[in-house]
Amino acid sequence: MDVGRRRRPVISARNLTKRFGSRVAVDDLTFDVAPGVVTGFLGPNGSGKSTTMRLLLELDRADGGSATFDGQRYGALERPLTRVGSLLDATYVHPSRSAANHLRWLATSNGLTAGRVDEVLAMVGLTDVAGQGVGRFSLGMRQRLGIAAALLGDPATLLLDEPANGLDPEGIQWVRNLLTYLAGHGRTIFVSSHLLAEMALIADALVVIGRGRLIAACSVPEFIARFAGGFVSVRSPSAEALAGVLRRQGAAVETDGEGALHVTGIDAAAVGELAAANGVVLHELANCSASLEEAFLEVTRSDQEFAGEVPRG
Amino acid sequence: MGDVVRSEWLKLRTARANLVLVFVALGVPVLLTALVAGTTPVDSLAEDNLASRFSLVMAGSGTAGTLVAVLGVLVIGSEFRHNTIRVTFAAVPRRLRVHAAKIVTVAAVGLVVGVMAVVSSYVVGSAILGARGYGLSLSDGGVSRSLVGAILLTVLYGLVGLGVGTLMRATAGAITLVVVYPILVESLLVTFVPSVGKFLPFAAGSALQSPEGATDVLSPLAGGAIFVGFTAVVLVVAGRVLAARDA
Repeated sequence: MDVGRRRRPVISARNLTKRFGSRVAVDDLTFDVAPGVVTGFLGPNGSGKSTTMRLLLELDRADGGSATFDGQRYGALERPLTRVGSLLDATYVHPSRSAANHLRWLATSNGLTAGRVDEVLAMVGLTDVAGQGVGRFSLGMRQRLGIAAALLGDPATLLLDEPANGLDPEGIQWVRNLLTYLAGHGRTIFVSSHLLAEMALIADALVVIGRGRLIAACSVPEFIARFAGGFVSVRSPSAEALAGVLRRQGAAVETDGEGALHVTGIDAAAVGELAAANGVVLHELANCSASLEEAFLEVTRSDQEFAGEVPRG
Repeated sequence: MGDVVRSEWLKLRTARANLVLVFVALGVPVLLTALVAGTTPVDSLAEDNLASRFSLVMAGSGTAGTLVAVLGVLVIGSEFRHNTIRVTFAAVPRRLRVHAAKIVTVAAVGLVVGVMAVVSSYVVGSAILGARGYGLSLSDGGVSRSLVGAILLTVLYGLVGLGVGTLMRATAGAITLVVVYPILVESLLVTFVPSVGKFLPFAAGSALQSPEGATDVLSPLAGGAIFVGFTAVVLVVAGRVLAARDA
């Protein structure tokens, strides 16, 4: 399955596999991420998203498969921060080091200037607290610092693991605008999130995994259409008669317990025509499309790593 | 590579614990030496030979070595503890470059601390002993060489700390090992089974800072070679493990 049909993919994961002991965390995972769009990386808690991110950056050694950025392994990149910016976890900071110094050592390691540090601090709104120890930062501030670090080398590709985690609504909107803006300027944005509603707002394409295996890699509308589909909601005083008519036409009919019929396998126009032809009065006839959240829950239901546990978000 | 060294140096000097350690390592040795050289009873001074007088002068400089070893552990241990090692390796995926840069940085700090601690201890300690009528001079047998050796030992302690910290990842355990093992295990063996104990790495290394007349130590060359070799093996193994393991 290929997300980047129109443009050559920038990130290519091929048969990535990672085991921790006997547990397979990432299982033969293959996907592409295209430039110019925001690609959401979805999966339930413990499905292998973070491990995949670490495999892409070669922080964890893959037991099989490989990943490339524009054809090059991450480990082969010179000054990688100028090519791929990443935020794995905002808590990966030394608590007694200041925000500015955290960015300075990163910048220095890739030959970037101190001026660039000031720029990204301003971009994420941390200029005023740049001299403070990161230990006193809230999760939201650390998240901003992590995003600043990812942007440091002005990279064409961004890998962000749950960047909105811990941000206030304003901050979430800021991240959303930033990622949409960057994607609009041709950058490659690969971002995981458990905030599915957020993903629906910013992602153009999706890579969905469950138990380390690929479930889908496609556009957001395709995903919703393929996995949750839509249904037609019908209310009628003679619901039972209508249900019988519809079933004879091969449609699946369920009642929602509140007097409405949920019909799948036939579109709203056909339902209306059948009702008219059979003299059934309709009080309501509507096309209902599923949300990304429903599609996601539907597709990952059988893949929950920890059954019974409430998934994050 | 220069960028990575500068980056590691910036990291080292921007974490509070490291600065505290360095300042303590610069100040405490000379104070300790002054205390020991000033308070040792005259009776025991009169009986002493050059080696034991030198060890009074150097009483504090060993602290510098221990503190630099702890610094070496922290330089890598704090990265594992706070997971910044992942940020580091994302910025510099060639892990052996990071390892090499940490070696250079710790060695440089160890050298500066070693020079300051050893020179200040010697100057103050020998002045105090001299005033009490039991002075020693740089031209005495092996004293100059032992001072250089003591500085080298400080550097090597730091590197062993770095290597052990890299291998163990757990800061507390690694610090305990580099602080307690030389004192407890090796010192006990040197005391009770000197023929074996003197070949153990830290005991062998102490030959570097032993002037003529010291007992139960190898020659400076043999002892130094053992400790340098030990340090090198620890660092090479640490580098291989660092490169192979998941970050």
